[in-house]
Amino acid sequence: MTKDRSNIKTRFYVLLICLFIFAVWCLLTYRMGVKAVILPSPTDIVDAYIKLAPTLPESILASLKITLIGFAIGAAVGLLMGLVMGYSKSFLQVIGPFMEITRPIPVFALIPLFMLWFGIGIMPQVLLIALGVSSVLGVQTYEAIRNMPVIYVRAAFNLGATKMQVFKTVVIPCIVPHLIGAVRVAAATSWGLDVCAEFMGVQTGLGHTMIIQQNYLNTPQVLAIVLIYSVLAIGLDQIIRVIERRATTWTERSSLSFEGLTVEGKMSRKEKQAEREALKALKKTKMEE
Amino acid sequence: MIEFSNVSFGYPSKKGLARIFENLNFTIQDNEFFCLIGPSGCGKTTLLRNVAGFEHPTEGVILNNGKPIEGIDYKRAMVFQDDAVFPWMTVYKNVEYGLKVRGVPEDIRKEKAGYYIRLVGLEGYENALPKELSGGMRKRVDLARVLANEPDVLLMDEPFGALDAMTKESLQEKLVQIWNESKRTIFFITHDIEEALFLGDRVGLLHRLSDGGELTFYDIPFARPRDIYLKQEPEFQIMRRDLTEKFHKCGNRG
Repeated sequence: MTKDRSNIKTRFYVLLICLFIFAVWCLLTYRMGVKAVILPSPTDIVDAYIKLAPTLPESILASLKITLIGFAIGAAVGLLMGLVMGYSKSFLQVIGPFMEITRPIPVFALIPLFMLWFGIGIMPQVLLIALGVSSVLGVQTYEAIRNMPVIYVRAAFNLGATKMQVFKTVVIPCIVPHLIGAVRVAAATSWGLDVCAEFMGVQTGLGHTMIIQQNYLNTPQVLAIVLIYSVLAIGLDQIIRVIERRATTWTERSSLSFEGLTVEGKMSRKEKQAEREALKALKKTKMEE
Repeated sequence: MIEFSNVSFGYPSKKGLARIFENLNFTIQDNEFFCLIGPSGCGKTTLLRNVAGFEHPTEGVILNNGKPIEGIDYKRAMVFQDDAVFPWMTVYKNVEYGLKVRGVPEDIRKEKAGYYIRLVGLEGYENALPKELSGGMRKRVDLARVLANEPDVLLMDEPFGALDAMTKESLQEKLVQIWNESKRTIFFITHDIEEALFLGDRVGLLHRLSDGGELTFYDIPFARPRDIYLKQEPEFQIMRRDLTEKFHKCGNRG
């Protein structure tokens, strides 16, 4: 089968599954009378958007601002920390133990503390997201440096580069492909941190709107906002993937695929039995000898 | 001139020092093409890395033009066995790398990088990425990159070991041609006796320490310039046979 045709086929299946899910949703809400408070119907959701419309742009902007600023600061700090840990052994030995102790602490657990310390403005949220992102990326950057092929570093030194030059021209480009996964995870985490932080304090934003609507048992509105968060998160992820493709054109992407790999010569039960009997017969003749 | 006096090397291990080679005394002359062969585990790569300055002798000293080798220097350039070409840089960027990090101005960089790219036969591939090149072509990039720095000493650690026979032969020919045109000291490590005989002025055979750790030398009498048909000559075959025998006697258990 050609690649195009199999592509069309898989797309068709995806569409089919989507339609099925939508059909079940409609069935549950319109036919079987599941209450809107448990599961809102598609029309409820549309309704919810209309009701939310006046404040929605403001909320989206507020959440977007907090998340992106937090993510950017966190990514910058994390990458820098990782790089410095890779660059300087003494920095690693001093900072490393503290990182090890603080890293396992769930960032979410710090939300109340952050609010006490920094108030309920944008500040604690940004800091929270930055902290969560930087602790993920710091460790990942350092690990990526530790696992990079030594030969490139040796070659660079041997060609006359200084340590700083080796970091700029060899280490950083070399680790980028290995960091993309971590950056994507960190971006997804930053949305979660945003929701949590908004649940607890701030006066604007999607998460804040969500908690208010939940208090009034407005499930359609809650679900409507969840959908907006999904779109935002997917959007950020897509942007990162585009950057990834640009930054890693040089890598030899392995297209690992299990398609079309078949193994021949697996023993059937019959053959196994035959083998056993042959062995038995062989032993017997040996014994007789 | 590289002088080895009483050079020993060992890695620290749980059971004390894991000794690799001991008390090596010899000299590589200026502009000599010296090939070192030996069974795997005899320490030939380690010895080369000591000359490059990646590692330091546990005892004894290696002198380069009378001065002890203390660190890495682009004047003693290493061509590695594995692929060391930077995959994120184009061929041109790779070749000019050494010049660039050393602060050579751009116009000179351009000229030199261009010259060495032509020398190894890669013109037209300046903007190609390493992933678009074959293994042999990547080795050419590596060679051009090292040569662009115009080092005094070339240290080559089985550079053609991973290539197929045809590619290997054409690169061997290229290397002797380059060396004929601009003489410099080459310290070449291989486990391929034919390669050593074809390339070198002199072959050193290093035994494993467990087999005595002896280092013996054989002058190679063949006239230069050499071409690959030399390998078919009877004198070459005789010498190859002779060395093969010695190689196996020294305990090449594979």
